Amino acid sequence: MPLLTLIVFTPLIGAILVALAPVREVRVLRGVSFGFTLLTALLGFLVWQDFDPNQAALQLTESRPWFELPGALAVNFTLGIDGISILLVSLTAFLMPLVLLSASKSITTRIREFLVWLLIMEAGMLGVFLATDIFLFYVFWEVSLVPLYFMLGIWGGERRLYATLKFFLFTLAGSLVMLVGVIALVYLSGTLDIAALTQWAGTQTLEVQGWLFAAFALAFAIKVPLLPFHTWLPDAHTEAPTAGSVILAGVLLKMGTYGLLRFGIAMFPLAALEASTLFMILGALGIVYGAFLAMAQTDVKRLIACSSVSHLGFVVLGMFALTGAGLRGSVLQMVNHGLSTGLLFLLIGMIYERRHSRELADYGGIAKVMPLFALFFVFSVLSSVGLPGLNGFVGEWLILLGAFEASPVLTAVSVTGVIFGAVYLLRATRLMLFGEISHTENKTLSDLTPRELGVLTPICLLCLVIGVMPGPFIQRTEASLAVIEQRLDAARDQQAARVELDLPDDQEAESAR
Amino acid sequence: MDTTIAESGQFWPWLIPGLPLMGALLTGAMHLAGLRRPKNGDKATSEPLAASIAVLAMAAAFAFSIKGFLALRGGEANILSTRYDWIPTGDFTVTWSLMIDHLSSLMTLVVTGIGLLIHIYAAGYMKGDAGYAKFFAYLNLFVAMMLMLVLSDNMVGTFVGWEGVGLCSYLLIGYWYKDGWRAQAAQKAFVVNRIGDAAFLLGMFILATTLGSLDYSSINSEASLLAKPELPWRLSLAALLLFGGACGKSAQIPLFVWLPDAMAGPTPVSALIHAATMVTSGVYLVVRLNPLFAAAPLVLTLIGAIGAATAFVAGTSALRQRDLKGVLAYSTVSQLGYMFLALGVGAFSSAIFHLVTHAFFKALLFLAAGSVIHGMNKEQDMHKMGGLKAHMPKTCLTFIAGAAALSGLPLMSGFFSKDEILAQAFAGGGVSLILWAVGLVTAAITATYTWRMVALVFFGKERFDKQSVHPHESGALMTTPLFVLALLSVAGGILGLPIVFHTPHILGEWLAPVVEPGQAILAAAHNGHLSHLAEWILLGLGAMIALGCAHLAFHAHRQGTQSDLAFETKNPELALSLSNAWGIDRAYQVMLVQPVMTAASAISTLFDLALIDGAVNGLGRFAQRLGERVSRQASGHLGAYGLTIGGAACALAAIWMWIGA
Repeated sequence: MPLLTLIVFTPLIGAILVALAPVREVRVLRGVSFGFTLLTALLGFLVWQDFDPNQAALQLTESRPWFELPGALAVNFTLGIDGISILLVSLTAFLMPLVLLSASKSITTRIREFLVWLLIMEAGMLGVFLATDIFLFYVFWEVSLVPLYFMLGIWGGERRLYATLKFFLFTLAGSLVMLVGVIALVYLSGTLDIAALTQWAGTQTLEVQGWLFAAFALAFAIKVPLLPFHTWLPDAHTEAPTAGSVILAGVLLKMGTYGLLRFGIAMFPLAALEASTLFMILGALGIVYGAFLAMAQTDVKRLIACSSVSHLGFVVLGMFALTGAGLRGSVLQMVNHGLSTGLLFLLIGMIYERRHSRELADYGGIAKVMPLFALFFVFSVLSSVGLPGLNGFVGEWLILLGAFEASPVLTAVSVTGVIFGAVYLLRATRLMLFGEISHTENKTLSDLTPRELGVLTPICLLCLVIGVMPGPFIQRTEASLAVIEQRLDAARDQQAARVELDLPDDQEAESAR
Repeated sequence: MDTTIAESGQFWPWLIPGLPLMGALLTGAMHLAGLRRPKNGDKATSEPLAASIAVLAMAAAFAFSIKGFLALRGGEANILSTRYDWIPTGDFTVTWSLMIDHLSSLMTLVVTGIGLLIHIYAAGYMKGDAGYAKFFAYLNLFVAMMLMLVLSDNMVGTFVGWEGVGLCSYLLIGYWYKDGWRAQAAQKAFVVNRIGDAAFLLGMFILATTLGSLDYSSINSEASLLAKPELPWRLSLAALLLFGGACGKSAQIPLFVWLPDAMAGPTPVSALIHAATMVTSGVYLVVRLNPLFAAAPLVLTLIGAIGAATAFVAGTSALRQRDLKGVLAYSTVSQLGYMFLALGVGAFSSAIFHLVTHAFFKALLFLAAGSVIHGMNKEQDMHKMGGLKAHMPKTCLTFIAGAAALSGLPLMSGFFSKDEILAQAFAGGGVSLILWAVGLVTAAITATYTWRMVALVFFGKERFDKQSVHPHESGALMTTPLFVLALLSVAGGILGLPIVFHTPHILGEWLAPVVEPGQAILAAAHNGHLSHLAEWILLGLGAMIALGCAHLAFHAHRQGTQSDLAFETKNPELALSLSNAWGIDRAYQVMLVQPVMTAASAISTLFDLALIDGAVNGLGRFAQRLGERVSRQASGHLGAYGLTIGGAACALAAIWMWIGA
């Protein structure tokens, strides 16, 4: 069974069906879309089951010829999965039905379009993680961005036009830089297959690797977003409808960190070694900077968005530590951030539907009228601040341990994020949930409905499972990451050899003078 | 250390933290089920059920703790639990695994034993509270986390409990969250603890990268090996950072500020978490890693100094509290300072001895105070009490027993444990003599504030409004635990009688296998042994100071509030700064919290919005303007087009020629 093709095309078929279905009944449309995302989730589960953790190379691969570029370059429709992508594919498949379920109340206009975009987005994101042909990757990359543009622009908040334009321009800039990188890479290497490209790139000199790395890294850094390219994110997050925010935090941003790993570190190990300090600094700065931004916010959704900047700083820090623990932690933390920040955005969306405000000042004391909401909110906050026993801790632990091996000083800076994270999230918790109910409108708020509980509970359970028993998740990434580590070690040797060679050269040159 | 490892792990040690965890899940489920019911649901039926689940879970955990204790006493080696993989980090795997050794066995006995009594008390104290089942869920969860903390055989597992108890403390301080100030106190506790936790994390990273393992057994054996003059500074730094973590949890300077605020929680919580167990986990950690700390003498000296300073500062602050729980809170900080003082002079088992006796008498004092507050309709101001002896005789009697132990009246448990610490400090000589002197002064202060409290609450005239407040004795559910604890407070000293009594030091012998490695390292540095005469003199001195100060304070405050008020009118500023712990908390607000918040908003508005985003928007506007300019060129005038084309052609030609050249 061509499992990967199926998982990419199932949401796409769903999108076409929903777009063309001659029914107007919203419930039917929703039901069909939900069914398709559920089917995708099921396929995702099969992929998870079939995945062989011991195999480092791509598996479940499929390849079909697609068309030919000038110069007899064959573009293939090739899909595959390995330890770098397995967690993100599963996360995407897992989250989408829940996102769809959560949006059933909040989106009331142009529902059919909304559902179509959501399904197209799912296909695009899965394609990004599964594509093993760089052309195909680029196509999926672009496909996954368009839906968010519409979701922001049509169903967004008051400042949606500004946010949409900003999101679009930032993304476009990144995409164009990446396109240059892709063209250069393909032109130089003469292949489109990512595995072959990786082999080829590893043999190149630092100069070649450096330029190509720069192009890709810049594009992905905008996507992550890394300081100082982060300002599109709070606006996009704040203005997006809940479903958009959840997908953005849960999966879309991970395309950036995924790209950094697959096209940055794995492909150009020499360049990654050179850039490691810079990216670790940017990561550490992002952690502290994002936390400070979050502390200053009065809009709770914006606060969570800023916290994303901080949390993704951890992912980048761990990744560019280029150590075993750091890489493992950053891959796992991509999922963890998706779960816990996704939870927070879902919860904010639920309270927004009731109260139509995102201002912290408009709340206070609602734990009394919404005890279940309070329970889930506190749980999500704890998951987000990395309480041991929940998912966030495992990732942070590995990242910080890995980063410590590379740079104790930057780790010490980053650890403050653990403190500041507690400051801004607990402050938000206190202002929203605790104290007296100061606004009369809040006295009649109704607690979470069974549907909402159904959205939140699976995510919370997964947070708990990863927190207590992360083994199955980490093991699935280990083999592929070990290959990256080997490439890095080889590059380190090369680097050392080059330094040794360089020195006598310089001395000779000087003595000649 | 005696680290003989049993062939294979056993499952039952997991039941010690596991049963309270189950209790927490069950009572938590009861609470959630209660939410679904209509408001006038049958609460009365669920209260006994919730309380019995929680108490039974505690009793069972206590029973298994005794099982562990008996097994060890029977001469068995350390009991290891089954291991489960947790985090594979590549170089080593962090596991879920427990170890019952002499230290953790003692700690489990204290935690589950006193915890059981406090649970029983709470069943009465919390009667009628809207979140009754939730309260017990939190309380059980706390105990589970505390047991995880002391039982884990590796540091990461301890860290789970470490942060877990912090969480429960947060939940329980903010239990009555409708009062904004309580929620604020909860947040403060969590954040201040997190500062310590961050240091703890860094300390663990150093150990993990230096030693390649975070199991206590391998850290301790490695640390003994490394205990040489050429000790790597990394280990000292690790010890320092771990002590930073201990400062947070055990409320030592500079991180003590959360504990006085933590009294916002219900009183059983103050007794269990903020006096008897959680706050002692820093002491536990240092003793657990005693070879590491012994191998870092500078850090050890710092620990002693911090302990002494904390004991003194908090003690003086306790002198001027009007809030009954406030006195006890600062007293707790001060007594924890004693324990760290003991650690600082290398008297590891003395620290644990004081930890145990303190757990007895401070839990007792808090619970008795809770009984007073309960009977006084939530009044906590001692100036509005007085003469309660007649109204609550049982509470009064037990409270006095606790007070006697705390102030170190002769032959009480606190007398022996405090005296042992002071004697050890004295024997240390040199710098330790300063610590001893501070400890002795603090002992005088302790006796003073303790008996001021007794006099103000139970003796003298009744100063409360007799129309609205009708003091009454609490029920048997609450008073029974008081009597048990009173007995322990009075007689607990037999666990560690001084050498001059020519009886075995039960606790010291019990802990010997755990603290020996550290002692061995320290013995090389200094060994001071007191002559029997010196020890007798020190005992006598301690007894005299305690009795004298207790006597003076009791009589000064027996008359009522005059003595307090006189002091306040004479030295208003001193009184104020003492009551606020020398203004340290205020200083943090001004020098730390506010600057950070200001920086945050400055970064957000000035740097992020104005500068970075300004640049982004500026770029956008620039592009727009440029576009407008360029579009204006498309004016339709052929002449202008021709000029542009011609000019461009010339420019291109020039460039081409330049490149060509």
